[in-house]
Amino acid sequence: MDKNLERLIKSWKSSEDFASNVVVWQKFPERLGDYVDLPDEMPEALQSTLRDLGIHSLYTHQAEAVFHASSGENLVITTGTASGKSLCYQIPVLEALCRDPQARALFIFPTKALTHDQQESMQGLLQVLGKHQPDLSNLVTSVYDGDTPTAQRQLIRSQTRILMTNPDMLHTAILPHHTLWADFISHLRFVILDEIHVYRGVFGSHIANLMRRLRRVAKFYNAWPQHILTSATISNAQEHASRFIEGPVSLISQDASPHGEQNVLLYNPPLVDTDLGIRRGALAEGLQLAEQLLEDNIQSIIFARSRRSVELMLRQLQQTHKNGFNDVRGYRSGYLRSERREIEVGLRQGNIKMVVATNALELGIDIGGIGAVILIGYPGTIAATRQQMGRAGRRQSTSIAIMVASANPLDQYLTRHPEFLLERNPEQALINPENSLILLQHLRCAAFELPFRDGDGFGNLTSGVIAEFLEYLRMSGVLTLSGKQYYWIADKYPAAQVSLRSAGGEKISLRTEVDGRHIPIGEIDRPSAFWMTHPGAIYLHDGVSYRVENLDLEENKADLIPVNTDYYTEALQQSEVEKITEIESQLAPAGQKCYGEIQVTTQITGYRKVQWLTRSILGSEELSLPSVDLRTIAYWFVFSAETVDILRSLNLWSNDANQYGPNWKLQRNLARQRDRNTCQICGVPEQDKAHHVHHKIPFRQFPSYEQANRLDNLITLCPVCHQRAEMNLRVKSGLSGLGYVLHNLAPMLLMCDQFDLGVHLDPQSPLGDGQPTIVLYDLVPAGIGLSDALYLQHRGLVKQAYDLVKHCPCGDGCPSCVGPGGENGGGGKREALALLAVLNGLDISNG
Amino acid sequence: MAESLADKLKALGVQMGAPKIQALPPQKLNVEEILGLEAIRHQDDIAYVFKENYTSSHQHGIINLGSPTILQPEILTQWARTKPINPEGLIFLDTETTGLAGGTGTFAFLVGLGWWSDQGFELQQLFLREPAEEAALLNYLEEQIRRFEGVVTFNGKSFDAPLLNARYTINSLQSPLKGIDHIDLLHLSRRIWRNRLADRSLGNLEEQILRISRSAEEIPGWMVPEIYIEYLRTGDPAPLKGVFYHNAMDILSLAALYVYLVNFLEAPSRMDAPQGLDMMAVARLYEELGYIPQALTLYDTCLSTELPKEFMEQALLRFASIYRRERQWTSAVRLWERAAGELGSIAACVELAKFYEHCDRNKTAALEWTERAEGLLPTLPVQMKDYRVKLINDLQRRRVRLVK
Repeated sequence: MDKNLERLIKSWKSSEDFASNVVVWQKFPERLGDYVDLPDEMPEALQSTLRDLGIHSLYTHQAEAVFHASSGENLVITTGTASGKSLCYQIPVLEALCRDPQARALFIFPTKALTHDQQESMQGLLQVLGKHQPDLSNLVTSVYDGDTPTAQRQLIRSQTRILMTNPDMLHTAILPHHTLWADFISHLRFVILDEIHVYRGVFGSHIANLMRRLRRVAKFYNAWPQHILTSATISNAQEHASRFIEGPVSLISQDASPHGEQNVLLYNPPLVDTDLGIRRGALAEGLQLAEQLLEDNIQSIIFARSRRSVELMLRQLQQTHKNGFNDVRGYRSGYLRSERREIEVGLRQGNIKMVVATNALELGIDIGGIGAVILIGYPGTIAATRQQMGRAGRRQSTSIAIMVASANPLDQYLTRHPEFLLERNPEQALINPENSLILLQHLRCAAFELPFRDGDGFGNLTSGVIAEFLEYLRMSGVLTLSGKQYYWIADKYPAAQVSLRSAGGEKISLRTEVDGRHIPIGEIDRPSAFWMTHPGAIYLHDGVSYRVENLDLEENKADLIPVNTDYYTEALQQSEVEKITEIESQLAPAGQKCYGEIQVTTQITGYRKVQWLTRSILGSEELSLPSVDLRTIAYWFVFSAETVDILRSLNLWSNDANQYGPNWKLQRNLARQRDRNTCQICGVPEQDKAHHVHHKIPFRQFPSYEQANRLDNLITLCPVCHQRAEMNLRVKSGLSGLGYVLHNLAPMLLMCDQFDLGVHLDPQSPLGDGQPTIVLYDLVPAGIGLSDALYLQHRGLVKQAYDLVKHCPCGDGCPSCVGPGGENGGGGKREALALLAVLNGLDISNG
Repeated sequence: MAESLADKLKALGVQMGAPKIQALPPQKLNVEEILGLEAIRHQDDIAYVFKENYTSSHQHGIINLGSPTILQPEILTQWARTKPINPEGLIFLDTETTGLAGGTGTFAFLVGLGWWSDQGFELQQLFLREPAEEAALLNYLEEQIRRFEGVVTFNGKSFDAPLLNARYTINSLQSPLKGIDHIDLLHLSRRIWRNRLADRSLGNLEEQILRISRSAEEIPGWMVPEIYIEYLRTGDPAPLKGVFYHNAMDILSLAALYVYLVNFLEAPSRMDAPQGLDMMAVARLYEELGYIPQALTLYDTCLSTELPKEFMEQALLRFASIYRRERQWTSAVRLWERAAGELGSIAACVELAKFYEHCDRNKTAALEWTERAEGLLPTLPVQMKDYRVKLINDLQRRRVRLVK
């Protein structure tokens, strides 16, 4: 099989078709591991146990972890996939148990699958350990999750030494009933928090507060556990870890595990239309590669981004390959545990040739080394990319990992900047535990768990900070002050009302009809509902597309039906932004960068249907919905008047709205009179405000204003139709091109989804005292730290954006840089590039 | 002026909930006087207790609350797995709490206690004027409970005891309820009245069994948390009087129910107007705990009462099955024949067929009863489909065996 892979690699190398699509082919030579002997200090029984299991030495990073842990430090371990991370915390925990059989450890995993995987691994260790140290032979390790039968829970609480659970159980079942766990928590010696890079954004901000609650309860029982965390490689792992611990954390990052030769390829499907920047689809290309691997009998994993793509590829591969149904399997959430387990074993034993998976297979599950891995499109974060690619690789033999780029700007950017994937990961996991909404919810839960005494803080928050929150909760009737303590007094169970995955506030429940019955499929916070689940919207949930039939804002529910479409929807919105406070600002090339608190008032006016593959617009519809207010944190950049003057003088400024020449006012009124002050598309007459007058052929395309403003080029339109007309013309301005590229690039720095960020452009912004301004803001009320980070990384962001646009091979804008260009108007690429140049402090006056 | 947190949270979309009368500081009313509480100094703390004494002639419904003249019957001791306890060794307990959801954020603000003494039946209600007094209440409660050998509750094993245990833990105290004998009358009541009463709540047992009706002061249990929380907000204890009444009645009824059950278990047939169904439940209890002679007597008594047909059949079959186990075939056959003859019991026919085939070796009689069972098949309720299929198969096999 290894021979096969080497042969295939050779043939790919020599194939012109293949090679021409490979942007990067990086070969990492075979690496031998660095080993050290089992430390002498390690309890005899544990040493014997490891030897029995064939572990005669440790990788240096494991030994380092064990050493630091034994000196009582908190640790975060960030070594690569399959580098033996689990042992880094298993050993310290078992050491503690060897020395004090009363000690307890709490393991927290983000997924059930990981929990059970670790449970089995730990049981394996304990079985052997019990033989070497008989007083540990009855030591119990248990999984405590939603599937744990009630009948067993009592026994688990009283007997377990090592408890494996997930954040939700800790949040809703353990902490609110901590008295039942008094014995366990009193002896809590270790807390293991695995895969912390998953805990970012809203979820991460909740977890940080959950850890505060855990430590608060532990302190009550006079327990001061030590923490060991693990993370994928991110740029701020240590800082991120310390935000959960609120204390110093040592970093173990030097991976000393061995691996064979690794080939990492970035594969960009060929351009089909150079000018419009359209490439062949990543899925189709990936499928071709997968078929070759299958033919050559090379064990591989194909990672797709959605459950739907998994099923699509699976069907194709199973049907075309002669033994497809046995050789090729799917793996995603929704499969039964036994089914997944069977696949994991099949992979380890080699009787399954290929697995098509979602990221469900990315986290920690032990499947052994695989010959080849293909990623269909960039998985969304570099950390995930590396974890998925890391599935390829064996101790001694050659492996290959290929990422097939899609048309997304980030995919395209990474094909030109492979260093981010191959060398330094610029990603940071960001959380904001101080988000008032999230904090408030956990203070409710914490007050339920134990009364707050006068002078109590919460985590590293002082009593001064939380006093205001407690007083607020008292005023809202859930706390009472008695003897200088705040007591929970409501007949409610707050943890049940707090979802760790949303910021709080009102929710819209999403439901679909199955056999005449309403089935809930999820929920969405109310502000997001307006743009994500307006009537007619295509909503993706668990890989299934739904169309929203009805959005009931009074009953807070939306009715969805599953549909098969080749398009998605984009809400058309008009937003107004208002500054509440400017927290910080600083001069930068071309103007001033700022961050602060803002209020965004958004009116969804309609939506358009965009084809998935080509991103071409299939049509648009109007909507009438009430406006929504969002109070949040934003990062904004104000262009200075001088900058605009320079750009204007070079004819690189396309955002002047009202410079339509001296006769504009007259012509505009004449056009409105002629059209009887009525919208010429929808027929709505003017009310208290004048309708807009629209240039049928864009103003800028005429040599003089007289020609552009001729009555036969003008038409009266209501604001809504006007916006649609502009959209249809797709005249892109430099500012909107800039917004597009920043909005698409920022998620790479922030490890977030594009939908976590809002963007707003205004040539005359109130945030910048009437100067042109671009605003990026957190879509979670009160912010989760994205905008603050953008402010700090302004320089890197505009540099990357400049590189991306400058090196994009398209003519005048494409989906991979400043957005698709227009049919009648300009794509705005030239203007956007000029803006990016001045933002980078480059001199553009000489062309 | 700096924006308040409330305004900010409102702008972020947090709803404070229903507007409440917040701004008013709690009134400074004399809670002890209004509720008639006695301040009992206890170590360094003060516990607030309402006391009432019911003389031994006090009648609570059909029950005289004077100490039960008989000791706890052995059957109850067996069933509850306690040591034998005299009535004077029992303390009755019922709590009123700030919530029904459970969890560490719920506490008991009123703990009702009752016990028999020389003075009759003594009631004490321990009250939290405010949450900070909890440790004092718990200490006083511990001292009271420690004086007794067993505690009697209604659903206390699932509710009151775990809740109080949690409160002791939170106050870093040892709970007196851990390790003490505990008789939970809910479970016993369920067993005894399962077939007769659809609703086995204390309230309904009070009406149906003890013949008590509560006065207008009574407030329903689900309103209790709200009334206390409202009191903490307003400082006005007057509405709590209804809660004290409710809790006092619960304690009295608990004691009365105990008296009733003790008498009933001791001698079911001696009760006024004994109910066949209740007696049958007791018979089953005796049977399951291995008191066979008592069980036989009770089943026999049951048969002379007005039992609904299905329970009559059940009584006959269970009665017969005891004799079968004891291999007293004549008695068993007599009962089966009665069930088959009077009630058309298929199960009895099958038992008889078995008996004649295997014990009496009388193939003709066995075949006769098999056919009789088959003939009765159409009377089986339709919903017992699986049972019917199994039965048909069994009967067929038996018949094949018998005609061979």
